[in-house]
Amino acid sequence: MNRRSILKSIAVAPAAVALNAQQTAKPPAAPVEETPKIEASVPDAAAAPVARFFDAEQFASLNRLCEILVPPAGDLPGAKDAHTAEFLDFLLSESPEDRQSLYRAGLDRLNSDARNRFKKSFAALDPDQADSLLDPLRQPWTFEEPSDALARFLCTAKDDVAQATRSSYEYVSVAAKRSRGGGGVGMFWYPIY
Amino acid sequence: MFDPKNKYDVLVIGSGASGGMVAHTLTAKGIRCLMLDAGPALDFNRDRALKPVYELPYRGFDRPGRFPHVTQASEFNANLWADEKENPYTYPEGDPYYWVRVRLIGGKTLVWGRASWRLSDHVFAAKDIDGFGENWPVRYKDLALYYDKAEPLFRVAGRRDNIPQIPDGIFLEDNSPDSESVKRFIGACAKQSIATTKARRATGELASSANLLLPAALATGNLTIVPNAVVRELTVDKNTGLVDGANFVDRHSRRELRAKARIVVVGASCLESTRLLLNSGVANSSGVLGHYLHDQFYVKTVVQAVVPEARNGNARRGLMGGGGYIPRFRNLNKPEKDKKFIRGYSVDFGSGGTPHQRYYPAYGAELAKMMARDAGAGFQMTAMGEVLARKENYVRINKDVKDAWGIPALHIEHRYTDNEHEMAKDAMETLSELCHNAGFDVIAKHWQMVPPGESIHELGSCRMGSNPKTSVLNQWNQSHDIKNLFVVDGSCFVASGSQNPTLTIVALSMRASDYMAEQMRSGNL
Repeated sequence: MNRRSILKSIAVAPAAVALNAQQTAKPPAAPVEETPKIEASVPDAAAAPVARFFDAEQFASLNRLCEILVPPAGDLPGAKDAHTAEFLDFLLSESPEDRQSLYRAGLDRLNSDARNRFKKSFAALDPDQADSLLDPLRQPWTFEEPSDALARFLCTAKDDVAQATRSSYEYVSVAAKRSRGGGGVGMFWYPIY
Repeated sequence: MFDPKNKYDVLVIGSGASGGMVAHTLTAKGIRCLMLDAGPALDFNRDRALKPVYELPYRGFDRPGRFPHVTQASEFNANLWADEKENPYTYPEGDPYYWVRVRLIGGKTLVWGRASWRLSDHVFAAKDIDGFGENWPVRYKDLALYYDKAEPLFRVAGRRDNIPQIPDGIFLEDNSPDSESVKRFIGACAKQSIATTKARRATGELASSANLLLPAALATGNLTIVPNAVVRELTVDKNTGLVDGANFVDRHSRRELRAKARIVVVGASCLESTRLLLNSGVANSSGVLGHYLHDQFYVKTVVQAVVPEARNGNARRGLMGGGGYIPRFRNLNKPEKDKKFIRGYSVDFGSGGTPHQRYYPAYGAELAKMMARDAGAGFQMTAMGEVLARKENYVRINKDVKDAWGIPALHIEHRYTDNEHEMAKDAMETLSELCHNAGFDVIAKHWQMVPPGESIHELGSCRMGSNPKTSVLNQWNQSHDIKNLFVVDGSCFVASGSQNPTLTIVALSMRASDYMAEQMRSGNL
């Protein structure tokens, strides 16, 4: 199509549309009194979370810990696939200071123990090496929190990682197909005026 | 516009179990009531929706630090609980009190567990048994008629088992069969002469003042409800010394308003009622207003057991499921010599479900394997013990701290003592033994009580009594000092027993309302 043809088609097209509209004219539709329901997505289905709270080494350790604590089970995603570390990075960024300290110190301790014993970071340990540093999680349950800071951190992380994984979009999307109760659906109450 | 000539007969402050019951009873007798509540009314169509957990901003964890004292709050229901920043309170460092509040029309009956037990004279006359504290100014025979009326209203289901410490009532009969695991546990209890029964619970997901009491009261045309009315103080007629209404603040606009009535009934929930009286400077000639605060301690999942036969995918219906209740059995008719505590505890037990992952010393695939093995095989119980009403457990006004409406906040001092600690230990040991005797594997046990207040059974601090020098209210929930002032919620309790208190609060409110109506009719009020 040369330049003359293009200009011609642009000039003619609106007139043709207008003529067509006149031929099929109908009364205007009644005004819409309600806003239509707009289908929307959750951000996790469309974008990847960005970690901001932990430093790079702490985050790598948390990611590795998540992977160890909740591995995939059949078609159910594990904590790594559910981006649990990224979510906990966000949650901890909003948490009270004592909780933040517990996590940061715990992750630093895992790293320092890993370097002392294996000369590499916790994130780089193989499964057996990592397992040897998580012994506090093999101790019998007591109501009182463990006196050791690492043990306190690991017990806390064990629960947080499991909950954050099970409530993720990735996990619920699969679990909901398995059973009605697996959908993680609850009655949410909006702010009440 | 408020017309001062058109005074209401009764001003009711609070819309929960007690305030709702007062409005229900009085309006049916043609008495005009004005009800103020600090919170809004729920609109089920507007205020709630089903959502998947991943759509919530914090994936169900809720905003960290939002509810440091409300362990019952989840991100789904967080907006039902009173905001702790708008409604501050204080306690001594190291002795936290978990004050759990709901500020909505219907109050805590919107979220209660619906357990509905009668008290007996083991509680009303407990001093006669062990010499501690004071007896109530009422006995079971005084309240039986009102329990009879309250249970059908709340559609209480239960089984009549003729257990003296939890008198039978007018129940929707629950004769459903027990599962095999429950039968085994009941059998182990019976061998030690420990009684058991079915749970007694108001039926319906929402057995609340908002749907069982207030609609009927409104239908009489005699009830006016004003939501979002935060009451600042009661007002007193200087000429008569009687209360004549209340000053309140509109929750949204902060506008100040005044309501008037012949009689004022306070049912704002235990500690809010006492706070209101203390802020108003009334009804405290005895000096005990604020004192004798108590509650019931909980030891949540005091024992977690597993039914061995239900492991490995064998948790079939018939073997597992259901549950029951152990009423208090310690120190029942006289103190037991080998026990280091007085009074006693009750137990809720349930069969089924999978124990929490925290109980398993493992993680990763190994943990998943253990939990799959025990899926559906859990057998667990929670102990609920009587906390002694002691004068040193008390509340006072903290003038340095005010709520969002400028009303002075409460300071709460409540500590558990050796009596409660020893009781909790006994519960753990006894229940653990019962589980062993039933053939269950006990995988975890402990006796750590939740902090004071967390059971949401706060009681006392405005107690009833026969002696005006040692109590705030008489046997009709009427102030000893001001005859047209009534306080009808759990603050009136003298001793808690170990039963959930709501049914007794409802019965006492109904009884006080009948008395009020009669006094109005005869011209005494």
